[in-house]
Amino acid sequence: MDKDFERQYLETYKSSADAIFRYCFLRLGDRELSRDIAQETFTKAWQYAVRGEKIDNIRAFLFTTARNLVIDHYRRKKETSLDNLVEQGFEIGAEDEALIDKLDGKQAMTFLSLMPEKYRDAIYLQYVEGLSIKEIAEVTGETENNISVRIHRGLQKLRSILRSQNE
Amino acid sequence: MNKDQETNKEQDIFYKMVEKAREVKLTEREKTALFAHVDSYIRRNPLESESKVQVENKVLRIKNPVKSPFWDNAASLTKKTFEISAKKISAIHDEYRGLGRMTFHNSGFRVAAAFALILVIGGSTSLAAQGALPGDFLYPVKVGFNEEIKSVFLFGRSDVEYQVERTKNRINEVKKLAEQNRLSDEVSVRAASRIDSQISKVTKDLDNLANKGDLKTVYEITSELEKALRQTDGEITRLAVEKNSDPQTLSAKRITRDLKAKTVETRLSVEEKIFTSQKTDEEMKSIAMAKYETVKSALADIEAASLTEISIIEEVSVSAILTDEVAVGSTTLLMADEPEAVDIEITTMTEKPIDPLTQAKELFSLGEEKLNNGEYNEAFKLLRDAGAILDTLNTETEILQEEKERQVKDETDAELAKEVEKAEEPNFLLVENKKTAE
Repeated sequence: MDKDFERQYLETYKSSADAIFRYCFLRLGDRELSRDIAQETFTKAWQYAVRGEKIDNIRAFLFTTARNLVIDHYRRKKETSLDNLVEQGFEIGAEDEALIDKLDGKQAMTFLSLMPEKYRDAIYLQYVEGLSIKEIAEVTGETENNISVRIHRGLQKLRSILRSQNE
Repeated sequence: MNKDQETNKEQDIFYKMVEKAREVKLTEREKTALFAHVDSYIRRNPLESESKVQVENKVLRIKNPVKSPFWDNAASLTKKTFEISAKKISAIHDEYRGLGRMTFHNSGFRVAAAFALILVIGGSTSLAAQGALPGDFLYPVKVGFNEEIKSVFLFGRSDVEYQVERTKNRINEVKKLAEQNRLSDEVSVRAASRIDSQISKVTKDLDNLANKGDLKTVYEITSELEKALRQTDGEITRLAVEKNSDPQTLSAKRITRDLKAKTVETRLSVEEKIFTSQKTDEEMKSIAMAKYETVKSALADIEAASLTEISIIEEVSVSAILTDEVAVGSTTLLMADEPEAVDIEITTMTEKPIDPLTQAKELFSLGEEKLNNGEYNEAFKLLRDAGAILDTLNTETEILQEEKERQVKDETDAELAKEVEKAEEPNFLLVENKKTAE
């Protein structure tokens, strides 16, 4: 049974490694650091299992662990400003929508990270990583109701950012 | 543009943004290297406590290691030998007191003479013990006396190298036991425990050397041990194929697998230290050369293994095919632990998937080139990445092998169960014949 769990855990790693890395990258903006935090997330989660603690939802648990590690190693990227994105040639709301396609993943993550922190996690975890409201609540330690409100307000905030670029 | 159109456009932009964000991923090499770390960590920190060891479907509880009944006999034999030696030395001393006073009063000479006599008088026992295997009467003499005596006179690098020799001896004993069908569950568990404590000794000695700054020696010794383990593992695998994966060879495989994982963990830890410490060019050259030899040996083993286990390797290659696009021409690869990029030429077409073994070979060739050009740091990084891919390939092969072994076992158990059932069925023919006779 324990070999099964080990196998399951390694399978979870294979399916979640990118998502955990991406989440760390969203928060830290540094690839190497994000890799280190992602690695530490998986070893810490295993330590928890070895201690005999029960993990109900491994995916949510991994995001929680990553989030806590990021809080410990938090680093604000200096270039997290819309002006810098515009300098790089990205114009949000431009007439020619094909410009959106020129945006690379890293720039997209930078844009998403512009949102206020309390909305950012909720929006990111739901839309990019596909977590449910319940799972996001577990990760962030908030109630499900709060998460729903944050998603709603976060989207409104995002809309206002996009509109301000159009003006 | 009306409000609805504007909202739709904003939504469209948002969803495209989400799609782009999902493109941020680990490269296959990064994922593989990370996997190697996580996998090693899991093997070093198994789920069950050490007081419980699961051997196939049985759980053996070994809270207090069972003392070998053979040890007491061997120990008293050794003690007797020493007492005889001491009496003889004393007798010699008395006889030659007048003549060789200066020589025999020299304490250093007395100690040496004592050892010489022990070796002569106890020599036959000691010699007989050399070929002993776990479970043999003289095995404790081999491990507790012969090998211990040798290690007394060794220091520093020689001592560590000798402890590594002892580790290799332990794993070779497991192989011989499996060959001779003597690797029962209990013997297997004790052998694993002995190997565990031996590798802890080696790790401790290596840590001491590393703390003194001698990373070059540490790395060379670790690489040497890994190479030897891989060789023995290959021999056990071939034995398993010959014996149709019988429980004893599978048991031996498990022991080697665990030991390999621990050695890989030690090696990874040393590699981390290498990256963060200052080294001379000469030291880096030796380290890069040691890595080169290890990876070369690993590649050769995998290719040799693929001749006897082609179906397993093929399955691994198919399941691990890379899908990342690689630009034609020159590109930049981020190394596992260095922020600066290394520019290399890649001529692979964008749509062609690269299997891990080919990728490892490419990295190995690049590493070899850097080594020949005297770029030892870069060579080491490339060879390390090649090694990480091969580690994963081995892990995936082992997982597949375990599944096949389990399948074989299940089929064997099912056949056995059928035979038992058949044996228990009433012999209707006999009953019919009996009736007819009546």
